[in-house]
Amino acid sequence: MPNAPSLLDPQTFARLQRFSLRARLMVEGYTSGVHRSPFHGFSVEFAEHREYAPGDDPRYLDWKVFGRTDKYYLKQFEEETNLVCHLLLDASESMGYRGTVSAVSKLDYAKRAAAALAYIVLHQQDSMGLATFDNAIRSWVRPSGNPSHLQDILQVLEQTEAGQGTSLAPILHEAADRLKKRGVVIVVSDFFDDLDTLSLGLKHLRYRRHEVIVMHVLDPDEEQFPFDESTMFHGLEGAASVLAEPRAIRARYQKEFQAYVRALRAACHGLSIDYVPLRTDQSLEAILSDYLASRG
Amino acid sequence: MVLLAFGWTNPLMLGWLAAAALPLLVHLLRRRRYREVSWAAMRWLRAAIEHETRRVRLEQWGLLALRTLFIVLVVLAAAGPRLQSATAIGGAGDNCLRLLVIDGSYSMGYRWDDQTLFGRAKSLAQRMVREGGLGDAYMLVLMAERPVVAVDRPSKDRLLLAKRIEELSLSESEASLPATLLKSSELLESADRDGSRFSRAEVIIVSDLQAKTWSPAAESRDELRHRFERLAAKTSVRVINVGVASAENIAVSQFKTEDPLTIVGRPAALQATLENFGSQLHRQAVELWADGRQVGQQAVEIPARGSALVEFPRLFDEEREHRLEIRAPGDRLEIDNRRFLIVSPRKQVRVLCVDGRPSGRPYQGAADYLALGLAPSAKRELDLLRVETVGENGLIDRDLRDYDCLFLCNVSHFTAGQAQRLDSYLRDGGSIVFFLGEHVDPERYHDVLGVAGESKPGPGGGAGLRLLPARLERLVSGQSSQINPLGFRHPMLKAWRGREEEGFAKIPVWKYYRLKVSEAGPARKVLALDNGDPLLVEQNVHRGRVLLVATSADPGWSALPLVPHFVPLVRSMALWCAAGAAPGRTGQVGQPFDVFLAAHGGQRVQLPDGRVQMIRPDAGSARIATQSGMYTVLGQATTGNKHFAINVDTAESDLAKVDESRLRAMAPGVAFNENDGVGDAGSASAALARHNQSLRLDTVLLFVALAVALGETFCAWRFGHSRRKASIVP
Repeated sequence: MPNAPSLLDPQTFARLQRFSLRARLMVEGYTSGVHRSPFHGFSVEFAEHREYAPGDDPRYLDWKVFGRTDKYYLKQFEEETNLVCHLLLDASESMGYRGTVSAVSKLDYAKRAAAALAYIVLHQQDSMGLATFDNAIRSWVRPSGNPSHLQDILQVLEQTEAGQGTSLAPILHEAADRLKKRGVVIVVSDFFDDLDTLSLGLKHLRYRRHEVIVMHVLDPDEEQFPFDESTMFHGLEGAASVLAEPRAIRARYQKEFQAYVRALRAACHGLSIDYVPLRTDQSLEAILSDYLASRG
Repeated sequence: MVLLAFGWTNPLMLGWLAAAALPLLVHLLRRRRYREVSWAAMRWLRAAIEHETRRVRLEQWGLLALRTLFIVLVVLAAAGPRLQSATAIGGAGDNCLRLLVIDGSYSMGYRWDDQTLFGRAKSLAQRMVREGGLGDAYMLVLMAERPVVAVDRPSKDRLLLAKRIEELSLSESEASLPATLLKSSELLESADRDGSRFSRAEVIIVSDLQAKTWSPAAESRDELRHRFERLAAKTSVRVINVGVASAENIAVSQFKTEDPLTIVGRPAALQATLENFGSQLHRQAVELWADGRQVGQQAVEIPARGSALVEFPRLFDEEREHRLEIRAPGDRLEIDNRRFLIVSPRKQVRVLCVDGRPSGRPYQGAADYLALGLAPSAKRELDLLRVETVGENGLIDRDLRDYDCLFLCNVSHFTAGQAQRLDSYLRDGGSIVFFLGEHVDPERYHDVLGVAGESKPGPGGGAGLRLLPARLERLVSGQSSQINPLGFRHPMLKAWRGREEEGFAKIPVWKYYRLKVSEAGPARKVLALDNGDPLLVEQNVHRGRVLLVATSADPGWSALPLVPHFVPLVRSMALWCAAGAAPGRTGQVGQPFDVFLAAHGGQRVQLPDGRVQMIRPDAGSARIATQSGMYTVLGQATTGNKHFAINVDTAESDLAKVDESRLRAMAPGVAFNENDGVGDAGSASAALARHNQSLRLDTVLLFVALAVALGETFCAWRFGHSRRKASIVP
């Protein structure tokens, strides 16, 4: 059992043991596993024929086809491989926000989600990598399937603090460039960035054939805007302060914010990206279990 | 085209318009108080602010405007804006000077419908001032025994006038209508001299038209008529009646001890007289209170327009002041339902007999029989009367204030110094009895002591003393006369009433001074001789009494000292004198009360209403008692407190109204309200209001303010409600 009491307690580990993260798309792993691989090897499940070329292993020649056509064809089979999961964790200043009713900040909540996913992936003997960023990538943990790798990931998560402003789109582009093998990319962020550039970053990942999961971390205050008195809002990530009468603008704020969330969700849907909302006042275990169960 | 004049009833109230800035100040102050929050989702917050700012600002300014408008409207309404037609004010220069006279006599304290007539009169005056013309000015006088001028110059300041009217207080005395009319004339003349220009002047008298005030004695009627005419020549005079047609009232008109002197250990009769001024028989409960607690109660029937005497027997066992009070509660005029009395019972009366012809032999001196008659008991120290006999020197070497009564027997003459001492003694409440004799020098008596009722003092009476109640005209002898008790009418002779057969009238007197009592003087005969000559004459001097006996105190001039009647007679004289002329420590509203204080030095006096005043009797002006009740002279720890009682004059308690025909004859040209009863107040005021024909805008403004307040409430609710409704959108 990993020793990471501040992010995951033993009870949580115990409950997460029954879940698994299966890739929906084909992924390129390093070892044989339970996930479908684009590499056609020699397995039990037939995939297709291809014409023989010098250097091919003659053991896979299909003699029945040779007998009918007098040509050499090789039998190709589907190969199952292991999952390589990349988790991109937003550690910008806005993620450090903690509302009036939540017990933890968005970053803490996101770190727990990352730890739980890392545990699930490694527990099913797949590979897990981690990148934390704000306006640039701050740490990069290469994927590994070694069970002891969880400890490395948790240690990085423990040391992660809210940093500077968000610049999510360049990070996504950089990640798309760095991740050569197709895998699952989980982006955990509040996505407080321009939606158009953000969409381009997600599209870049999808272009690289990665399966992308967007985990949108929100504080309930950011949705409900529950302030009454005159309030001076000091902007995080360098935004200028503004004095406002919350009661007068609450409705409009909620409308604007919900529109943004709907647009993000729609963008994800258009890119075949799973959109998973994470609210910091809700049970992480429940959200993850529902989501993982929905993936089958 | 109708010309309109605009004005304010209370222009000073407009100063409160500054309060209209309050909502703005509150708004600005609120903006300076806010909480601070670190916030991540600034993009959407900014978007919301940019989108909502205009609407929110409009809402806030709208609410601010409504709140400000509300304050402005209320202030304007309080200032009393009025619109008056030019036809009503008779042109631009039309204005009226009104002199309001409010009857302050205590009959105006009659309560009707939970309000006194005085309160009604004040309300009516307030209404007149409020509803009067914009250019009208007012003066204010309280009709009292001495008229009180509350506003002595024409004033248009409605606030000041309202304050002055409110400050008027009911007096506890009667009111003098002639003095008030004279004062009113003087005020109007004074206003005219000061250059005040008014198109007309009006005197409005608000009164209950009580007969006592409005129907003076015959000798004053001409004067009153003259004063009404003088006033009516310059102004129009209007009398508004706020009285009640048939008012019932019961008053305690008298409260006294039956005997002038109350003795410790002897029962005393406390007598209260109740008068019914109404037209119905009343059964009245009467309470006796002593030193702050109720000690007796009786019920008495008082016939209509009659009186009843209630007697409470009471034994006083201490030689100290007792504060007594009679209460007859229950009617609508409360002020005359109580009467107060201070009783100071005595253990002993000290008498000093001055013998003008002392003798070493028994019963040869001029005062020997008298001293025996005054204290006949063998145990003289136990006797009520403690008698000392001295020679003429005693007038010099004795402190006369130690004695309640002096008997001067056959004293030949008095020096001016002795006369002054006697005068001071009388001022202190002592009393003197003169017995004459052969040594008496009548001329020197007249010259030094002075004779009551005579204008010219004698050569020795330069100080203007009037101590003798009668002139010693000449010595009469050689004929025997008998005593005429004059029906024993004098209280001193009360013991003989009904017992004439016992021979009092047969006592012979063969030598005496013929006394000449001045008709103009205050002296009265107590006893006379059968030939009509006075034998015993009495007059009150200062706070004491002076009795003059025309014959001697020894048997040389009459048989009086030898008969049994002599003892009770001289003892009655002594007790009568010891009681003094002053009515105990009891006075009347309107009289100075300095007489109850020590002659010198300041003293603190607690008034019936609880206030304490420092009174200096030697400061010049006498202090007039304006309240009835118990007054307490606060003394030092060693001397203790002294009390005196002040009662109202119940002449004002008869609420009968003046005969209308007599009133009209006495005050020609004066407009009287025809209708009787308290309803008049409203109709009179309404008549004035019609006369002024001014449109009051304050009510309209208040309604608009109410609408604004409701609008503000609705808008605040609407704005808040829409936000709350929107805030539950998921």
